[in-house]
Amino acid sequence: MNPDDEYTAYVSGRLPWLRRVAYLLCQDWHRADDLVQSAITRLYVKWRRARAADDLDAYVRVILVRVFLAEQRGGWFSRVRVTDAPPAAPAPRQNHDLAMDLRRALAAVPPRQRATLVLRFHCDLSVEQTAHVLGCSTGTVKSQTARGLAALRARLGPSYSHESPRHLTHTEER
Amino acid sequence: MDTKDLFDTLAAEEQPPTTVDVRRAVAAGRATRRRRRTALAAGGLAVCLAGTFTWYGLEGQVRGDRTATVVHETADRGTLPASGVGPLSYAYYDWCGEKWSPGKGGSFAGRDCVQWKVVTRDGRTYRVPEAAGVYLDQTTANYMNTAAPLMITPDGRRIAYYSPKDERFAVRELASGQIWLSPQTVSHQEMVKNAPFVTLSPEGRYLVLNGRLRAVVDMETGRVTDVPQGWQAMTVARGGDRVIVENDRLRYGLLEDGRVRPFTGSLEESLSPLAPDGRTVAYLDSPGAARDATVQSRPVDTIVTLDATTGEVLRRVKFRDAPAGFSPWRIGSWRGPTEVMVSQVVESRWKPGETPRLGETAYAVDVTTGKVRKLGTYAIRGWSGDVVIPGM
Repeated sequence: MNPDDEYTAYVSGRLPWLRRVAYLLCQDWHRADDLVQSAITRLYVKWRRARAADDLDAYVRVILVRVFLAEQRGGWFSRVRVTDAPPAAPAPRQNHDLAMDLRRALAAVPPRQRATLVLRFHCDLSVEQTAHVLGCSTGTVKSQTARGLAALRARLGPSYSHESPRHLTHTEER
Repeated sequence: MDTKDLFDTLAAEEQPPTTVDVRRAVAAGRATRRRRRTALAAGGLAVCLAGTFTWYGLEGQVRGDRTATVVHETADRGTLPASGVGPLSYAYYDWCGEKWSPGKGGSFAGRDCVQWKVVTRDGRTYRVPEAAGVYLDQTTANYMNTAAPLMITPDGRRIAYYSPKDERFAVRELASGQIWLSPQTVSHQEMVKNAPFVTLSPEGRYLVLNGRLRAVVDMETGRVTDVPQGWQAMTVARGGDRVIVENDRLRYGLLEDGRVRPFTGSLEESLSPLAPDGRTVAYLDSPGAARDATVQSRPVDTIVTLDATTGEVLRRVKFRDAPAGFSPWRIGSWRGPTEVMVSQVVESRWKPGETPRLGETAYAVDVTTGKVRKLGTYAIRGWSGDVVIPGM
């Protein structure tokens, strides 16, 4: 299998996972597709190095999160146009209201805090791993986590209660 | 509902049809790779009338610009003598000056002109047949990997290359003719497939091997220092005891005494080798957003220095006295305690019926003042190829 075939096989296989992470970062499927398109383009450019990585998924996740954060900074960036086709209709959801509330709450969390929460609570990364992905200190991850959780609490009210996962300490959530 | 439930709920949503197109990513990625490589691959060498230096202001509009563009018209394409060769000005390959189709290198089989050529400061040009040059067995799948690497020390006195006869990397001192071979072997197939690159320490004694080998080799003693798992060596300082390493997460670190001290935060820019003080490194930066392979951003306008022992920023300085359109694309070695080399792709106006002029212009940037000083232009007449400048 040549490198291009390897790349195509990997990306095709991991596309649902990448879209899901991107969606949690931005709460919009179309924008998630833009993020994924940018991330996998960048992955192709770095494929020779990426395929030698100890953890390819982690490598791609770093790219995806950084594409997301870079886009947040805005200003000098032009979005990559991924298709000329009109946007697809959103898929039906079983609990539309709940999902809508959750999306709104998450959207209210600032992007960097949101990325921290996604990495910690969806991707199940440790504080140290999250710091690696975001390129910041563990202290920053802890403070971003605490602020992000507080923002969620403020939005979701009593229906939301955060319990520490096993790898979180009390100190981290203060 | 806790945070985990929240994400699980959202993640469990049925995904709508996607607009992500893997083929489009491949096409865009190829175009990006091509732009990056052909920027140099399009590098070339210009005019070097033997012993005659003509002063041009082709690229620079710097006040008092008096740097040389060296143009070689009369070829002295003998092979590199066994010894007694003076310091190099640059090296290049040019696909024999002919048009080349990616993936079809085989049509050049049997021709000496696909070998690396070195040009001395006094204008002599030699082929280097013992160094692997253009890969003739490339395919359309690996056409981006055009040729084996060759590197010249900043003083122009040593070169590093891949020796296909020995299946090892070699360092050659041009004056004495002494050749040191790396202990590790690398097959030609691996070279073509994985495109490992090599880097030399400023004095040309220590060789960085990347990819599978992941080591720093003292070429004079054969002593090999392995780089810790998860890191790749990027550059090695004079004396070989300090190595700049990088991991998969775009984080740099300093390898010293067998231990990596990661920098604070990650960095996507390429770092210079260590400065003569053994602790300062530099990189080129643009204002505002980070540069990205898939987005547009402002041109580079700042040189940033870091303390490699901590990763902390020492100084950010905007370029000063730079020529119009100055936009360096990579950073190289240090020319003194405060000056670092950068280079910019030559952009010549192509006229129909003419062979393009391609190559690089080297500048020195003072990291304390930002002052930009042009060093010279190295260009070839050719359709594609590569130019290597000492220390870049």
